[in-house]
Order: sequence, then C-alpha cells, then structure tokens
Amino acid sequence: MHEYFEHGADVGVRGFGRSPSEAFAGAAGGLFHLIDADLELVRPEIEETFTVEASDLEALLIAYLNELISLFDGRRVLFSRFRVRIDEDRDRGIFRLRGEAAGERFDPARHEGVVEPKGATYTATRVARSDGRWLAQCVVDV
Amino acid sequence: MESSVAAARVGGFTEVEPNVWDLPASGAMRVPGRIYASRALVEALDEKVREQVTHVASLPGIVEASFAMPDAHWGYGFPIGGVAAFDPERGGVISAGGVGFDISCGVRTYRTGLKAADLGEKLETVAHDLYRTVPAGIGSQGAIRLDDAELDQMLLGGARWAVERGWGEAADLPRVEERGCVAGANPRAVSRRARDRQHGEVGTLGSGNHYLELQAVDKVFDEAAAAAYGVEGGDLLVTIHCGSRGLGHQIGTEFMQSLANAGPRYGILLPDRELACAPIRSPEGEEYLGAMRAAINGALANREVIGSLVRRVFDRHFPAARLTLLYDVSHNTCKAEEHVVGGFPRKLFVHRKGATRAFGPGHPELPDEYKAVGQPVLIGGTMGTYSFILAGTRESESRAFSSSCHGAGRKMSRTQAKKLWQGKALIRELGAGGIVIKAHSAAGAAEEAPGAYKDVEEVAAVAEAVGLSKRVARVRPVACVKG
Repeated sequence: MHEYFEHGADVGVRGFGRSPSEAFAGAAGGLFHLIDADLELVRPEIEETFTVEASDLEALLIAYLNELISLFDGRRVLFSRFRVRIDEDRDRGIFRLRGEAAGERFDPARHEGVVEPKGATYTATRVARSDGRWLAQCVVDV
Repeated sequence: MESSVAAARVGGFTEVEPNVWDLPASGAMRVPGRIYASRALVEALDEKVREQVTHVASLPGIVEASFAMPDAHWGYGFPIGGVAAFDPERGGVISAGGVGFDISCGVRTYRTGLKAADLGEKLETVAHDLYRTVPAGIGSQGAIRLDDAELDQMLLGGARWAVERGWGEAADLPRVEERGCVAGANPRAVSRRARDRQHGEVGTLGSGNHYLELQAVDKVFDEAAAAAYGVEGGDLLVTIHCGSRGLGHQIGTEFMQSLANAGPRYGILLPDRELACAPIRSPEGEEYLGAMRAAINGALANREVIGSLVRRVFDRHFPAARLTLLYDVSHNTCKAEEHVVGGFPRKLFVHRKGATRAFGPGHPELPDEYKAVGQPVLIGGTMGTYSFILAGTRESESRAFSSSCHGAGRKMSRTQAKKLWQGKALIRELGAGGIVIKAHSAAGAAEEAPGAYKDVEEVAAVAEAVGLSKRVARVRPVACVKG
C-alpha cells in the first residue's frame, strides 16, 4: 500500500505495512506507480533478487529504492511485485535487506512511462511506526 | 536626516538593496546567505530554501556567501538555484548534493537561419519528425551502443568525442562551455552500474522537464548583443534541454552515499545528509570530481548527438537550412574557476545547482564573437510560456561568482499539477494557442503544465535588475517535444 505526499518539484512516496518490510515494499510499489499508472497490468515475468545493507533503516530504504531505480534503468524491467525481508545484524551494527522484484520488460508502446525517477533522496525520509502501522517514506527526484 | 523607513524583512531575509535579500551569518553559518529576488518571489519562497541556504553557508571553506538565484526552490542538500564557491586552500569541500543527480543537465540552442514563419504548414510535420527521430520518454533507446573502451573515450571527450565520431560539427565546439570537453574526467571512477545505466541512452532526451523545442524570437531587448548572438526578431531557434541520463544519476546516487560516509573522517558534521561532501583535496573528493567531470562530458556528448539528429530532421524538410550552435550551458556542475575575492584572484570550486555560469564581456573562456557582449545565458521557460536569452555581465562576478538563474523554477508540486490539469486537454489548449505539443506521456505533460512554474518573465527581469545577467531576447515556443 502506498500514497504520495507533496514536494515542490518532485514527488514524496510513502509505503505502509504491518512491518518495515511491508512498508518498504509499499514504497517500492509507489515508486513504480509513478512510472506507469497501470502497474496492476504488468506481468511478473522477470525476477530479480538482490541484497543491500545500511547502518539504519532510513539509509536502507534509500539504498533499496535506488537499487530498484538502477535495475529499472539498466535492465529496463518495469517491476510490479515486491517482496522484502529485513534482518538486523547486531554484531556488525547494520541492517540487511533481501529484495525480490518481479515485472516485465518495459515497452514504450504498451507502458505510458509518465516520469523517470533519477534517485531516491534523504529529503523527508522517515521509517517509523505510526498509528499502529509502519510507514517508509522519502522524496524521489524525477 | 535619518531614514525612518525600516528595511523590509521576509522569512528571516532582510532586503539590503532592491531585489537583494540577506540572511546574516548565525549559529553554524560561516558566511551570510543571500537571495536575489523580487519581494513577490521571496514571499512565495519555500521555507526549505532558507534552511538549505543556511546549511550550505555552514560548509567548510565556503567563500563570501551562500547564494540563491531568483528561480530558487527546494532541492536536495543545496536549493535548486543554489550557488556556492569553495577554496581548496582553506579546507573547501566538494559536495555531490551541491551538484545534484542530473549532472550537467543543461540547455543548448541552435540558430536555423530560418524565420518561424517559414515553417508555415510544415510545422506539424516537422514537429512530428522531431518526435519520431529524437528518442525520448521513459525506456527510450538511442541507436548508439558503446563498448567500455569507447564509453571511456566519450567520458573523456564530451561533445568533442561526438563530433569526432560524426555526430555534430566542429564549429559547434567553441560555443559549448569548456569548448565541448571538461578536463580532469576520470572514467575509472565511473562504476559498472553507472556504465550499465548508460547503455543505449546516448542521444536520448529523457523525460520529466526535458524537452526539445522550436522557438520564435519574440522580442529583442538588446540589439547589439542580439546581433553578436546572431538572432533577430522572428528567427526560428531550436532548443534542447537534457542531461547526463542514467549514468549521471547513478554517479549522483553513489557519491551522495560515499561522500556522506567520508565526511565524518574529515571532521565534517552535516546538518543534512544530502549535503554529503569531502574536502576537495582528499582522495574521496578527487574521486567524485573525476566521476562528475566524466558525467559532464557525457551530458555534453548527449546534447551534441541529439543536435545532430535535429539537423537530420531539418535536412529533410529544409535542405538549404544550416543549424549553427548559439550556445550550450550546463546547470548542475562544480567547476574550478578563478574569481576575484577581496581584490585578489583565487582558484575556487564553484557549485552551481540549477544555476548557469554567466561570464561577463572579455572573459577568456568566451568565443571571439561573444567576447564583447558576454556569455549567452539560456533560461528555459515552459512549453506554454517564454524562454529567455540573456548575456553574462561583468557585475555578475561580484554578485555571485559569475552565475545566473537557469529557468522558471517550479512553484507547484507534480501531484498538485495533475489535479489541476488533464494532459490531453492541456495539449489541445496549447495547440489552439498555436503551440504544437508532442508528448510521450499525456500525464507527464500535465505535470509540466506552464501554470506549475514561476513567472519566468519576473525571474529574468530580476536577474537583470540585480546585474546577474542582462536580457537580450525573449523567445516563444512554437512546437515542443516532451520526454
């Protein structure tokens, strides 16, 4: 689940869930919904699995979304399904995220392609529990 | 008699002279903040701009002041429209946030030798051909594929590389900043991932606020400067706005992270993670400089290749026309330049984020034909409003290290714009007003609605009033290809 929030030039993306992992996956859905409004119709034909690490959850969110932007741009896969697993490595003082994303090859003839995300930023970045659920948000430079 | 008129104050800024607003140094600020703007522009300013100007003023080695141009708005770390110079001899830093994600995003304008009226009934056909010929929109691919060795050559050679490979003309090069190629690029500092993102993107326009526009010179403010720039009323121009594409975005992303990690090792405590910086004289600082300069060359090559595609279109419809480059300016850069501070020349690293270099008359970097009038400053408007050609001034050196504004500057969020405008209706409306819009995404066009931007005429007028640059000509859009 996701929603957007206002930013003067770019777009704020916010994901929700019962856990940080679900909130991260929600934010990823919001990110790719910016690219194509009909994301529900995108078939999960191509899968990518990756790992990112960071010292805190906010940095982890930025690393996760930037990994997805980078995969989209480099491999031209429009992702529509997201799974996230976050583990804390207390010994090393880091968080590790294992992400799975599935989608199909981006086809300008079939996908509208509204805006192209350049990078997820630390602006208004927040990963927190709020009203009994987790939210994960940041502003995306488009 | 003492003046009883108190200085105007808005949002912490004090108007120290008309259109010049200062924020005295306080707290962690090492220098004052200063914004060049009319009262209306200051009043409409996002609160975040003041905060970001303050944060930039706290960075080590900053010289004179943390500046914001008349089109400033909320950015990442630095405001968009932010200018700051750093002295490497005094612990000055290089900041990835001070350059931004779309490194060297910029504008280039061609003269066509034609009048806008010459387009006549061909307007729609030419606009459609440009739309088909120049790859644009998300996921678009160019015809050029480079292996690693050739990519390195592009990152070292910039527009010069493009010309050598047949995409462009040698006569263009003196009219591109740095003569088409910035020195000191280090392709080895460009990661595998950044290279992968570049694959297929040479010669592509991109999306969002990037565009390719046919424009008519609508009004000339300064006849002598216009003559030096080779433009007069009614002339047809072509303007390209785009940047370094995925390669530059990836470099921005990676170095914001790595410089944020490096900063604390040099005792740099950041008020905002996105100010990510390291001393210019440090391995991390030099690594970023090398990668950023490679991305600048990538952007210069990209615009040169797109220009050659535009020339092909004109060859098909107007075989006798010859496109000559007026100028190519970059917006998101950090450049090593000599500036006079306190009466002495110093080598400084000038960050211009959403701001344009604006060298005044006589500057040795300028091509001979522009030396008497100063550097062309190209201010992009919107697909429905004017753009401007200005000229750098000598005064700009003391105003903001020879810098000026870069565009209209957004005043409204994309989500808000989509609520107010519907893409297809907007395109029809602009069409009824005589502007042909070819958009790869109707929703994307709605986000770029002219009403979502500040009044570019006011921005250009303020730039002139405070001496950042002076107006030479105003141009209006005739046809616009949106990414």
